[in-house]
Amino acid sequence: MTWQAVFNEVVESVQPIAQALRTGAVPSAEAAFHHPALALARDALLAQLQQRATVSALLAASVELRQQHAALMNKPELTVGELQQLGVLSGLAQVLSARALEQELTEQERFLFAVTQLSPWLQRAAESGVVTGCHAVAALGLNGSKAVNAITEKRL
Amino acid sequence: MQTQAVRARRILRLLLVVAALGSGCAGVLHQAAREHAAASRSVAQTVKRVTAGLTCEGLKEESLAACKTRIAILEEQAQALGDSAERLLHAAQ
Repeated sequence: MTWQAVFNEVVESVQPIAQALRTGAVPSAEAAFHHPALALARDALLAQLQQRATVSALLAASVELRQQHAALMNKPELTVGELQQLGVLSGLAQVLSARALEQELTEQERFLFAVTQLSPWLQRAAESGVVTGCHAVAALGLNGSKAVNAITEKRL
Repeated sequence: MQTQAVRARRILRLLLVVAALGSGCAGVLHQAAREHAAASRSVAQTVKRVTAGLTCEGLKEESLAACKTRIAILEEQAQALGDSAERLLHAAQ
Protein backbone atom coordinates (compact mmCIF):
# COMPACT_ATOMS: atom_id res chain seq x y z
CA MET A 1 0.00 0.00 0.00
CA THR A 2 1.34 3.45 -0.91
CA TRP A 3 1.68 6.14 1.72
CA GLN A 4 -0.86 8.23 -0.20
CA ALA A 5 -3.39 5.42 0.28
CA VAL A 6 -2.55 5.24 3.98
CA PHE A 7 -2.99 9.03 4.27
CA ASN A 8 -6.43 8.69 2.71
CA GLU A 9 -7.42 5.90 5.09
CA VAL A 10 -6.21 7.79 8.16
CA VAL A 11 -8.00 10.95 7.07
CA GLU A 12 -11.21 9.03 6.35
CA SER A 13 -11.03 7.63 9.87
CA VAL A 14 -10.39 11.09 11.34
CA GLN A 15 -13.13 12.77 9.29
CA PRO A 16 -16.15 12.04 11.55
CA ILE A 17 -14.12 13.24 14.55
CA ALA A 18 -12.95 16.40 12.76
CA GLN A 19 -16.55 17.03 11.69
CA ALA A 20 -17.77 16.71 15.29
CA LEU A 21 -15.10 19.16 16.44
CA ARG A 22 -15.90 21.56 13.61
CA THR A 23 -19.61 21.67 14.40
CA GLY A 24 -19.04 21.87 18.15
CA ALA A 25 -20.80 18.55 18.77
CA VAL A 26 -17.82 17.74 20.98
CA PRO A 27 -15.83 20.49 22.72
CA SER A 28 -12.36 18.94 22.48
CA ALA A 29 -10.34 16.05 21.11
CA GLU A 30 -10.23 14.60 24.63
CA ALA A 31 -14.03 14.65 24.77
CA ALA A 32 -14.18 13.06 21.30
CA PHE A 33 -12.13 10.13 22.55
CA HIS A 34 -14.75 9.33 25.20
CA HIS A 35 -17.90 10.25 23.25
CA PRO A 36 -20.07 7.13 22.63
CA ALA A 37 -21.30 8.40 19.26
CA LEU A 38 -17.68 8.54 18.03
CA ALA A 39 -16.66 5.15 19.40
CA LEU A 40 -16.72 3.48 15.97
CA ALA A 41 -14.62 6.23 14.39
CA ARG A 42 -12.21 6.14 17.35
CA ASP A 43 -11.75 2.37 17.13
CA ALA A 44 -11.28 2.53 13.36
CA LEU A 45 -8.66 5.24 13.72
CA LEU A 46 -6.77 3.41 16.47
CA ALA A 47 -6.85 0.16 14.49
CA GLN A 48 -5.50 2.04 11.47
CA LEU A 49 -2.70 3.67 13.47
CA GLN A 50 -1.63 0.40 15.06
CA GLN A 51 -1.04 -1.43 11.78
CA ARG A 52 2.62 -2.04 11.06
CA ALA A 53 1.97 -1.19 7.41
CA THR A 54 0.71 2.23 8.51
CA VAL A 55 3.88 2.93 10.50
CA SER A 56 6.04 1.84 7.55
CA ALA A 57 4.00 3.97 5.15
CA LEU A 58 4.28 7.04 7.38
CA LEU A 59 8.04 6.58 7.57
CA ALA A 60 8.21 6.21 3.78
CA ALA A 61 6.21 9.41 3.43
CA SER A 62 8.55 11.18 5.84
CA VAL A 63 11.56 10.15 3.74
CA GLU A 64 9.92 11.38 0.54
CA LEU A 65 8.91 14.68 2.11
CA ARG A 66 12.48 15.20 3.34
CA GLN A 67 13.77 14.57 -0.19
CA GLN A 68 11.42 17.26 -1.49
CA HIS A 69 12.59 19.49 1.36
CA ALA A 70 16.25 18.95 0.43
CA ALA A 71 15.53 19.77 -3.22
CA LEU A 72 13.78 22.99 -2.23
CA MET A 73 16.59 23.91 0.16
CA ASN A 74 19.01 23.82 -2.78
CA LYS A 75 17.26 26.70 -4.50
CA PRO A 76 19.24 29.90 -3.88
CA GLU A 77 16.15 32.10 -3.58
CA LEU A 78 12.78 31.04 -2.26
CA THR A 79 9.45 32.82 -2.60
CA VAL A 80 7.14 33.19 0.39
CA GLY A 81 5.02 30.34 -0.99
CA GLU A 82 8.08 28.12 -1.29
CA LEU A 83 9.12 28.98 2.27
CA GLN A 84 5.66 27.88 3.39
CA GLN A 85 6.11 24.64 1.47
CA LEU A 86 9.52 24.21 3.11
CA GLY A 87 7.89 24.52 6.53
CA VAL A 88 5.12 22.07 5.69
CA LEU A 89 7.54 19.51 4.25
CA SER A 90 9.81 19.44 7.30
CA GLY A 91 6.97 19.88 9.81
CA LEU A 92 4.92 17.03 8.38
CA ALA A 93 8.00 14.81 8.09
CA GLN A 94 8.69 15.36 11.78
CA VAL A 95 5.08 14.66 12.78
CA LEU A 96 5.02 11.45 10.73
CA SER A 97 8.30 10.15 12.11
CA ALA A 98 7.22 11.05 15.65
CA ARG A 99 4.12 8.92 15.11
CA ALA A 100 6.33 5.93 14.36
CA LEU A 101 8.17 6.45 17.66
CA GLU A 102 5.12 6.50 19.91
CA GLN A 103 4.86 2.78 20.51
CA GLU A 104 4.64 3.18 24.25
CA LEU A 105 1.80 5.68 24.23
CA THR A 106 -1.72 4.93 25.44
CA GLU A 107 -4.64 4.64 23.03
CA GLN A 108 -5.92 8.05 24.11
CA GLU A 109 -2.54 9.66 23.47
CA ARG A 110 -2.39 8.08 19.99
CA PHE A 111 -5.91 9.29 19.27
CA LEU A 112 -5.12 12.86 20.40
CA PHE A 113 -1.96 12.88 18.33
CA ALA A 114 -3.85 11.82 15.19
CA VAL A 115 -6.66 14.33 15.70
CA THR A 116 -4.71 17.35 16.92
CA GLN A 117 -1.34 16.92 15.15
CA LEU A 118 -1.45 14.55 12.19
CA SER A 119 -4.76 15.68 10.71
CA PRO A 120 -3.96 19.44 10.68
CA TRP A 121 -0.51 18.83 9.18
CA LEU A 122 -1.97 16.64 6.43
CA GLN A 123 -4.45 19.39 5.70
CA ARG A 124 -1.69 22.02 5.52
CA ALA A 125 0.21 19.71 3.15
CA ALA A 126 -2.83 19.44 0.88
CA GLU A 127 -3.44 23.19 0.98
CA SER A 128 0.14 24.09 0.14
CA GLY A 129 0.31 21.52 -2.67
CA VAL A 130 3.20 19.45 -1.30
CA VAL A 131 1.04 16.33 -1.09
CA THR A 132 -1.07 15.39 -4.08
CA GLY A 133 -3.18 12.39 -4.98
CA CYS A 134 -4.87 12.19 -1.58
CA HIS A 135 -8.53 12.89 -2.28
CA ALA A 136 -9.59 12.41 1.35
CA VAL A 137 -6.92 14.83 2.60
CA ALA A 138 -8.05 17.51 0.15
CA ALA A 139 -11.68 16.92 1.08
CA LEU A 140 -11.03 17.75 4.74
CA GLY A 141 -11.54 21.37 3.72
CA LEU A 142 -9.96 24.60 4.87
CA ASN A 143 -12.51 25.21 7.61
CA GLY A 144 -11.94 21.79 9.06
CA SER A 145 -8.23 22.43 9.23
CA LYS A 146 -8.78 25.73 11.01
CA ALA A 147 -11.18 24.17 13.51
CA VAL A 148 -8.77 21.43 14.46
CA ASN A 149 -5.84 23.86 14.46
CA ALA A 150 -7.69 26.14 16.86
CA ILE A 151 -8.17 23.24 19.24
CA THR A 152 -4.53 22.27 18.88
CA GLU A 153 -3.38 25.80 19.62
CA LYS A 154 -5.69 25.95 22.64
CA ARG A 155 -4.10 22.78 23.96
CA LEU A 156 -0.65 24.27 23.53
CA MET B 1 15.21 30.11 30.76
CA GLN B 2 12.81 28.95 28.07
CA THR B 3 15.72 27.99 25.86
CA GLN B 4 17.16 25.83 28.61
CA ALA B 5 13.81 24.14 29.19
CA VAL B 6 13.46 23.38 25.49
CA ARG B 7 16.99 22.01 25.38
CA ALA B 8 16.35 19.89 28.46
CA ARG B 9 13.20 18.46 26.87
CA ARG B 10 15.05 17.63 23.68
CA ILE B 11 17.91 15.99 25.54
CA LEU B 12 15.40 13.99 27.61
CA ARG B 13 13.66 12.83 24.44
CA LEU B 14 17.02 11.88 22.97
CA LEU B 15 17.94 9.89 26.08
CA LEU B 16 14.58 8.11 26.09
CA VAL B 17 15.01 7.07 22.48
CA VAL B 18 18.58 5.94 23.03
CA ALA B 19 17.46 3.97 26.11
CA ALA B 20 14.68 2.36 24.10
CA LEU B 21 17.13 1.42 21.36
CA GLY B 22 19.54 0.00 23.90
CA SER B 23 16.84 -2.12 25.51
CA GLY B 24 16.51 -4.25 22.39
CA CYS B 25 13.43 -2.71 20.77
CA ALA B 26 12.68 -3.80 17.24
CA GLY B 27 14.15 -2.50 14.01
CA VAL B 28 11.13 -0.36 13.31
CA LEU B 29 11.90 1.77 16.34
CA HIS B 30 15.50 2.08 15.22
CA GLN B 31 14.38 3.13 11.75
CA ALA B 32 11.82 5.52 13.24
CA ALA B 33 14.47 7.10 15.47
CA ARG B 34 16.78 7.67 12.50
CA GLU B 35 13.98 9.13 10.43
CA HIS B 36 12.79 11.35 13.26
CA ALA B 37 16.31 12.67 13.74
CA ALA B 38 16.62 13.38 10.02
CA ALA B 39 13.22 15.08 10.00
CA SER B 40 14.23 17.17 13.02
CA ARG B 41 17.34 18.23 11.14
CA SER B 42 15.09 19.32 8.25
CA VAL B 43 12.99 21.40 10.64
CA ALA B 44 16.16 23.05 11.95
CA GLN B 45 17.22 23.82 8.36
CA THR B 46 13.80 25.33 7.65
CA VAL B 47 13.97 27.57 10.71
CA LYS B 48 17.49 28.71 9.77
CA ARG B 49 16.46 29.40 6.18
CA VAL B 50 13.39 31.39 7.18
CA THR B 51 15.27 33.25 9.93
CA ALA B 52 17.99 34.21 7.46
CA GLY B 53 15.40 36.20 5.54
CA LEU B 54 14.29 38.23 8.53
CA THR B 55 15.55 41.77 8.90
CA CYS B 56 15.33 44.38 11.60
CA GLU B 57 16.10 47.28 9.30
CA GLY B 58 14.14 50.46 9.75
CA LEU B 59 13.17 49.81 13.35
CA LYS B 60 13.76 52.30 16.15
CA GLU B 61 16.27 51.63 18.88
CA GLU B 62 14.05 49.76 21.36
CA SER B 63 12.24 47.72 18.72
CA LEU B 64 15.52 47.05 16.96
CA ALA B 65 17.01 45.47 20.08
CA ALA B 66 13.90 43.35 20.63
CA CYS B 67 13.90 42.28 16.99
CA LYS B 68 17.56 41.24 17.13
CA THR B 69 16.92 39.31 20.35
CA ARG B 70 14.01 37.44 18.77
CA ILE B 71 16.08 36.50 15.74
CA ALA B 72 18.95 35.38 17.96
CA ILE B 73 16.55 33.15 19.93
CA LEU B 74 15.26 31.58 16.72
CA GLU B 75 18.81 30.95 15.51
CA GLU B 76 19.74 29.42 18.86
CA GLN B 77 16.67 27.18 18.85
CA ALA B 78 17.43 25.99 15.31
CA GLN B 79 21.01 25.30 16.34
CA ALA B 80 19.91 23.33 19.43
CA LEU B 81 17.42 21.32 17.38
CA GLY B 82 19.98 20.62 14.66
CA ASP B 83 22.64 19.60 17.20
CA SER B 84 20.31 17.22 19.05
CA ALA B 85 19.17 15.74 15.71
CA GLU B 86 22.80 15.06 14.77
CA ARG B 87 23.44 13.40 18.14
CA LEU B 88 20.30 11.27 17.74
CA LEU B 89 21.30 10.30 14.19
CA HIS B 90 24.73 9.27 15.47
CA ALA B 91 23.21 7.29 18.38
CA ALA B 92 20.73 5.52 16.09
CA GLN B 93 23.37 4.32 13.57
